[in-house]
Amino acid sequence: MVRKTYSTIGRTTRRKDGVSKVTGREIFASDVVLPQMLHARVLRSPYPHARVVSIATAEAEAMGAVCLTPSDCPAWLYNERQVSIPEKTYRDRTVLPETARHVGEGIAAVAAKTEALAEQALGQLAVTYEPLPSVFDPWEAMAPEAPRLYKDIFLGDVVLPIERNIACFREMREGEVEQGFRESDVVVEQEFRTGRVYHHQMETKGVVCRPEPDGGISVWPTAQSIHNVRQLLGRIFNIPLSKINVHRIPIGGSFGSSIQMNTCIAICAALALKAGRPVRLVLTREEDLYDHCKYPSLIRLKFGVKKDGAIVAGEMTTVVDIGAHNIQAYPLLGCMAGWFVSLYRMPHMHFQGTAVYTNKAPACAMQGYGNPQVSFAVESLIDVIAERLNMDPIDVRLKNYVGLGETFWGQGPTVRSVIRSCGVEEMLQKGKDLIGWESRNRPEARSGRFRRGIGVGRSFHTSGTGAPMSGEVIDYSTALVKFNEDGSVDCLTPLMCHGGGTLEALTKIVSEETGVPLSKVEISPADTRSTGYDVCTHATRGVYCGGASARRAAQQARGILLQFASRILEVNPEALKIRPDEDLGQGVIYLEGAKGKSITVGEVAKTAQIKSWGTAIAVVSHRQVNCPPCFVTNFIEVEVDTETGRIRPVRAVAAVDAGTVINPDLAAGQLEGGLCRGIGLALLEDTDYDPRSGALTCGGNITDCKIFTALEMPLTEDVATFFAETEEPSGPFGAKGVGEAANNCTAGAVANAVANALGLRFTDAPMLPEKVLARWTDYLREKRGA
Amino acid sequence: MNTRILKAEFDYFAPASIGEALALIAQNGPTARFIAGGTDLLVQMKLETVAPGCLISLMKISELSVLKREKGFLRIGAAVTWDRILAFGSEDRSYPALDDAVRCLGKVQVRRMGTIGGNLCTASPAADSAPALLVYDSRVRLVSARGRRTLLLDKYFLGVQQTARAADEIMTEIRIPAPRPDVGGAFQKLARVGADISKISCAVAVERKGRVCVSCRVAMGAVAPVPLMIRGVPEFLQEKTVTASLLVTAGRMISDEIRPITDVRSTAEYRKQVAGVLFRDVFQKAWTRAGGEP
Ligand SMILES: Cc1cc2nc3c(=O)[nH]c(=O)nc-3n(C[C@H](O)[C@H](O)[C@H](O)COP(=O)(O)OP(=O)(O)OC[C@H]3O[C@@H](n4cnc5c(N)ncnc54)[C@H](O)[C@@H]3O)c2cc1C
Repeated sequence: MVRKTYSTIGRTTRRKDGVSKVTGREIFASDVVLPQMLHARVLRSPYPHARVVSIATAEAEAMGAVCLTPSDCPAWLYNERQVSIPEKTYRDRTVLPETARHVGEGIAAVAAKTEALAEQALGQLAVTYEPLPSVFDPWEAMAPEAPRLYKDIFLGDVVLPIERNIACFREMREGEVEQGFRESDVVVEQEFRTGRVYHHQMETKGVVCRPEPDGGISVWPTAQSIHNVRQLLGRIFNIPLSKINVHRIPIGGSFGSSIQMNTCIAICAALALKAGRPVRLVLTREEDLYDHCKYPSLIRLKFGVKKDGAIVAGEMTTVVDIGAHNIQAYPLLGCMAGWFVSLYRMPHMHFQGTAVYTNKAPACAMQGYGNPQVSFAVESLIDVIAERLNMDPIDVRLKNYVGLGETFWGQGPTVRSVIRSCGVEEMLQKGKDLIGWESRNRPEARSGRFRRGIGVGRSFHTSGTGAPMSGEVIDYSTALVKFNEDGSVDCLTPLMCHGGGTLEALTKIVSEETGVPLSKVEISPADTRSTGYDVCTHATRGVYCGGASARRAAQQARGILLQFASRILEVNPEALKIRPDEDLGQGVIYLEGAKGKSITVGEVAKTAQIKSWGTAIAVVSHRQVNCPPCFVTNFIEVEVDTETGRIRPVRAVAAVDAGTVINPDLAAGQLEGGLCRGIGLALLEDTDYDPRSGALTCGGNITDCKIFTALEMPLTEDVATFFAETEEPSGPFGAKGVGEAANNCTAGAVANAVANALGLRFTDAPMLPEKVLARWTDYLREKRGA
Repeated sequence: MNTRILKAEFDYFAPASIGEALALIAQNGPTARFIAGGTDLLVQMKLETVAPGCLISLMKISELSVLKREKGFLRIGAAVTWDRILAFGSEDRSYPALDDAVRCLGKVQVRRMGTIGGNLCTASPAADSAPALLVYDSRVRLVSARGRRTLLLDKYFLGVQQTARAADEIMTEIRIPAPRPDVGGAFQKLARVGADISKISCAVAVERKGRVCVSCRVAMGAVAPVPLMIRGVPEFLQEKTVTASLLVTAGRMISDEIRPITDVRSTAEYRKQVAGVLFRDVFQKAWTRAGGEP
C-alpha cells in the first residue's frame, strides 16, 4: 500500500527533552526541593505476616522526628489502582496497615530534617509484633488449613469475604471445548511458568508533598497518572479535589510500576499533613524491590488441532501468585483470557484463572500485563504443534492467526473490537528472510559443544482499552491545544511519558494537524488543576488514545484559527490550508492556487489578539472506540553452550505493526528495549523468596537481582528492526501503539530457538544455566539409555 | 534495607603518609578502618554489617600508588585503581591473566574507584584479581607499627574474608615476579551477567615448550572459602604432551578438588559441573598465548 506523506510524522527528529536528560538537568520527583522540606523514611516489616501490636514513637519524636503510625491514618481501605470502574475495584489496604502481610511492607514512617536523621529516628521506633503464620506458595495458600491473609476486603462498596486466599477467579467459555478436543486430530498440552520479575525501572519510586494553607495539598509524584493520584488522595484524606494539585514530573522509567498510585505517596501525604511541612519520600532500591513485581505465571495450556494445523480448541488454566495485595488481578485475568483468544482463532475455548494471595511483595502490571506470560506459553505450544504435525512453525501461525476483519477482545471480554489493520503476514515473511529461516536446521543435525537454533514468536498488544461500549476499564484522554500570539502552539495534557517518547509523538501529531513546524510546538507543564482527566499512560495507549485527543483538540483550535484568518483574507475558512514553513518558523495559511492569499499563523493569532477576537484554543475529552492490536514478531537465534548451560542470543529480528510510525527511532528503541527485557524474562529474571524468613533471597539488593544490558544483547549489527507498512483507520494519522507489544513475543521466540538448538524444550522460565545444564545432562543420559 | 543512606557518623582522615596512617589507626581504637575506593566498605557500612567509628583513607599516600616494573617484579601499589591497571595492561602484555581479570571486573564506576588492595583486603572467595595474582606467584607487602613483612599471596588468604593481615596493618603493594618467557596466562569467569561477581572463575599460567607443558599454575575463585590454588593438576600436567583427553582428565581432577557451596549466585553442583570446562577453556587460551599467539 502507498503510505501517506507527512511533514512531521514519521520523521526522525531530535528529542525535545533530550538535552535536559543527557545533561542531568531534568528534574525528577526525587530532585524536587522545597523550603522547609522534611525527609521521610518508612519502617518496614521484617516479618512476612505479623500483627503490629504497638509502635512506640517517643524516642524518635525526642530526636525531632514527626512520626506516623496506623492510628494517625484514615482507616478507609483503598486500591492504589484507579483504572477499573469502582464496582470492579478490590480494596484491601490502608495507608499504614495494622497487619503486615509481606516482608518490606511499610508499617510506620518518620520525617526529619535530613534523610540520615530520619534513618536514625527510624531505628528508634520500638515495634511489638505478633508474628502470624505465613504462606508463600499459591497452591498451599489455597488449602483449607492455610494461614489466611484476609478475612474480607471490599469489592467496590460491598464486603467481599476471602476464602482460601483466593483474591478472584474468572472463567470464560466460547463454544464447547470438550467437543472441540474430541474433534481434534492431535491434542498437545503442557505447563508453563514465568518468573516474578522485578520492574527494574531506573528511578525508584518517590514523591514530594506540600500541605497548603487552605487545607489542600500539592504533590510531585512518580506516577503514570496524575489524575488518579489526585482522586485517590482526595478520597483517602477527604480533601476536595479542587484543593489537591498533582504535578506531572518526568519519570525515570516505569515498565508499569506506577500505573497505580504508589503507596509511598499516601504515606508521604499523611506525613506532610501531620507535619504541616513539605515532605520528601524516595524509596531506596531495596524498598523498591519489596514494593512491586511482575505477575508471575503458572499456565496449563492445551490445544486441539486438525491434521492441517487448524486449531479447533484451546484451554488455558492459570494460577497467579499476586502476593499480599490485589492491585489489579481481576482485569489481569480478563486480559490473560483476552491475549489467549486473540492470538489464534479458536472455535472452542475455555479459560480459568485464579489469583491467589501469598505473603510476598504485591505483583502489579508490568510491560505486557500478562501477555508475555501468555504468549510464552502459546508460542511455545504452537511450535510443539508444528513439530507434531511436521509443519513449518510459520505456516501454523499463518493458518491460525486472528487478523483483518476479525473480532478480538485482547483487553478482556468487555473490550471487543474489529481488527482494521494487520501486518502479521508481512512481518513473518520479511522477518523470515532477514533471519535466514530457510537455512534453519533440525536439532538432530547439530553436534558439538555450541549449538545454535532459530526461533520465531509472535504476539500483539492492544493500543489502549477503548471500545464502543464502556466496560470495566476506564479509557479516555483530555488535551488542550492553543495557538500563541507568535504562531507557536502549546499542547496541554496530563498524559505521561515513561521515556519512550509519548509526548514527543503528541508534539508531532499537533504539528502535523496545525501545520505549525515542530520546533514551535511544545508540551506544557501539566497538573491536575489545569487539565481534564486522562486515565493513565498504560496499556500501550499513549499515542493511540492520548494522541487522538490531542489531534482532535488541534483540529478544533485550527478551525477557530482559520475562522480568524478567513476574516483577514476574506476567504471562506473551509478553503484555507496550513503548511509548515521551516525557514519562517511558522505555519503558513494559504488558499491553494491563489497567490497573495496567504498569511502566517503568527500574524493571524496576533491580529486576533489585537482585535480582541479571542484565542484559537480548544479542549477535547475523547474516548477511542477501538483498541487495535499492534502486532509484533521476533525471530531470534541463540547459541547454547552445552557444557555450561549458558544461552546467548546472537541475532535477532524485531518487527512491529504499529500502523503509522510517528517516532521511527524511538519506536525502534522500544523494539530493542522490549527484546532485551523479553530475553531477560526467558533467560534470567525472577525473584525468589526464602520460605523460612519470607525475605527475598536477593535481600532486596539489586546486586543479586540482575537484568541484561547491552553487554548481553546481540551486537547492534546483528539486531534488525522494522515496521510493517500498515495504517490504522481509527488511529491518529494511522498510528497504533508499540510499548508493551515490544516484549510480548520475545520469551516465546527464545524458548523456540533453544528447542531448535537442542531438541529439548524449556517451559519454565527463566532458563538459567544451572537448569539448562542439569536438564541437558539428564536428556543426554536418557537418550543414551534409550 | 538500604544501600543509599549512610546514617552512621564517623571521623574521616586522609593522611599523606604511611606513618601518619599508622598513627591514626593506633589513636582511633578498634573501630577505625582503612578505606581505599570504598566500593566494598561503603556498601557494608550502609547495610550496617560494619560500623567504623573512624575511616582512614589511603588514597592520598603516594607510596601506595606506585605502578612500575622494578628488579624483576611488577610493583602495584595497593591503592592503584582498576582503571590504571587496565591502562597498564593494554601496554604491557606480560600479565594477560591479570589483564583478563580486570577487564571483566565491575563496570566503569567500580573500575574508577575500586583498588587492587581493597579487593585483596576484602578477600572475598570470588575476588577476581586473586586467581590471576595467585598463578603469577604474587606477594603482598604489609606494614604496621610492628614493621614490614612480605607474604606469598598463597599464604595470605585464610578463610571467607579472612586473611593474614592484622586489622592495623596496611597493605602497601602487590609484587608480581616477571614471568618466564614461554609462559602464557589467561583468566575467565562465569557470571549471571556481563558485569557481575563471579559464580566461578579460573586463572592459568602455563609454561610451554612446543606441545609439552613444562609447568603450570592454576587458581580458582568462588569454589572454596578462599581463592584456591589448585594443587593436583599442575603436578599431573608437568612435562606432559598436552592433548584434549589429558585436559579432560585434568578438568575432572579440578572438579574433585574444589569445595564450592550453594549461594545466591549459583549452586555447589553447578560449580563442580562447570569447573572442568572452565579450566579447559582458560588453559587453552593461556596455552595459545604461550605459543606466542594473542
Ligand atoms: C557494583 C560492584 C561491582 C563489583 N564487581 C566486582 C567484580 O566484578 N569482581 C570483584 O572481584 N569485585 C567486584 N566488586 C567488589 C569491589 O569493587 C572490589 O573488591 C574492589 O577492588 C574493592 O576495592 P576498594 O578500593 O573499593 O576497597 P574498599 O571498599 O575501600 O576496602 C575494602 C576493604 O579493604 C580494606 N582495605 C582497602 N585497602 C586497604 C589497604 N591498602 N590496606 C589495608 N586494608 C585495606 C578496607 O578497610 C575494607 O575493609 C564490585 C563491587 C561493586 C559495588
